[in-house]
Amino acid sequence: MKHPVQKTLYYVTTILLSLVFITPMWMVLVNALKEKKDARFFSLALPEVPVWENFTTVIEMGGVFRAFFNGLIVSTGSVIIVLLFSALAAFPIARSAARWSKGAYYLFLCGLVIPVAFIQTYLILDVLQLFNSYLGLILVSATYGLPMSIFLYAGFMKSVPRELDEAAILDGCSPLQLVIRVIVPLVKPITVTLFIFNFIGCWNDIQVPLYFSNTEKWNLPLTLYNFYGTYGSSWNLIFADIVLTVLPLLVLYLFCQKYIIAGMTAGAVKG
Amino acid sequence: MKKLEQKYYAKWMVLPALILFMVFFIIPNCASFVMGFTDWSLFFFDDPRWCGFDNFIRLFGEKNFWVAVKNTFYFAIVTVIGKNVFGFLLALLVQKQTRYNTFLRAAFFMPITISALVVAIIFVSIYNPTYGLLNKLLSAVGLESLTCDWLYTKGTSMNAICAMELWQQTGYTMCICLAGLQAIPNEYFEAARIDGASRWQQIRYITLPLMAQSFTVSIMLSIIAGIKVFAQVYGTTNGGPADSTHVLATFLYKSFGNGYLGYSSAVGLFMTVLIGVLTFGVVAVLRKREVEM
Repeated sequence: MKHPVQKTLYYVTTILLSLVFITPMWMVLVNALKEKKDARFFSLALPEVPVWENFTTVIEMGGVFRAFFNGLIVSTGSVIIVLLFSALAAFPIARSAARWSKGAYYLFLCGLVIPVAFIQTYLILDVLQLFNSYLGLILVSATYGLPMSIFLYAGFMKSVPRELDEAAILDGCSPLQLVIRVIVPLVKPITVTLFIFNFIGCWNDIQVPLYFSNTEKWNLPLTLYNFYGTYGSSWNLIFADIVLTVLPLLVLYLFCQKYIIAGMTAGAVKG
Repeated sequence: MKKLEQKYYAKWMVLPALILFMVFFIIPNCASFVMGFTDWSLFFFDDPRWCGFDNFIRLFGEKNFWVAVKNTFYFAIVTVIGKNVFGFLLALLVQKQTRYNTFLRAAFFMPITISALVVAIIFVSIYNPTYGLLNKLLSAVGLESLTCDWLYTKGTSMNAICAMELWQQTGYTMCICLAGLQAIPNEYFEAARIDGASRWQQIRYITLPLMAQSFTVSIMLSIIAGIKVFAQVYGTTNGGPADSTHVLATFLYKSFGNGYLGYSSAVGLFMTVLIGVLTFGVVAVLRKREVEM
């Protein structure tokens, strides 16, 4: 790319492309700080006087805090269960050549392709009296995270030499200690990756809370949608709500971009 | 040693995950095979009866169902092609390791971290017929004749939803492609250059064949995502105008909301079979085309 024409072309294309991705976010941000009468024009201009009250209004009216904590509880809870259960399950799957371990592996793999049967899951939650409970949402979200996590954990654990198992066993490790204290620390990068992958997936998911809970257990994206349905003409407030909804993950993205990109694409690279 | 192996690579370790997976995934999916053939509904909750293929006959006779099938396929085909073509081109564009390219990658990938439902609401404002950014842009460059109510005109609504999905997800395929690109040893390209291969020939005969594995994965993932599409439609048109943008998942949610459990199970069953057949079929075809590096 030494040719000056080529170089200009490259810069023009990439700047235009990045504008395609950045402009919508900019529009949301500036209009979140405007009066209702100005925001409905969706202009890209900065507000004359920023109206910070939009945020406090939304927090009060939109139930942002509750939705934030709902999301936090369900995402954190399910991520912990996913990581623990899938690390534990992936270890014998990666090591044992027995028929049952192969069978379990392929069973979990089916979960990557086959869609979820929402209605029947709803009935099961109903029977277990877990409908509209944090525990129910956590367990269901965790279940949906298992296939990918087991698939990746098993793949990475295979690269840990067996001699380490033997050394740990000679030192008197129990099976549980072997997985938690020896193997998992050795595959730390994939643990971080899976943590992020599952956390983002759960935080942004709408189908699990929509099917399996009532409004008071909804997460940020769903309460935003609800708010949008109720205050459809107050775009300043809707945009303020969008900013608050997007902010937690955007901040996370800015700080651990490397891990997030690795996390979201790990399945593809390993597969 | 055999005994030690049984103790340390033990069956019980798989159990917690397996129980969860059984209860909330396998059993519901098996149950849908049974329930799809009953007339179970919330109105006669205690009295489900076998009705054979009645649900499917009713389903296949419903006009909106075929609209939903058509739209789901349309969405899947357009987004699979779009995501992979644009994703690959973006990957080629930002392939070199420079600071500027790192910034670009971050910008292209950023929308993935936003929930599809939130993206849908943002795009409702962008597609707004009077003040939306898209129509303003078109007017500004002199294409006023093209402006319209993107989401509520029959011909454009599905395309508008596809474009939104491309905006959000292309960064993802770009990253898969980047990983594939970086795995190709540089010597291959050097050898090709010495032999006098043009840039295009290098892409055609080295890059594309060696990236077949990445494409298998990203095509598979985009097919699955395409057929499962829900939030993108639920958040924008929710099936409207006049049920013309329903997809299978919104159709399913609507019939579930109406209380027809047996009937919506039949819809779910149809989706499961469709995704299963398509994914395994396409993967089988694509795997054949892969080459060893």
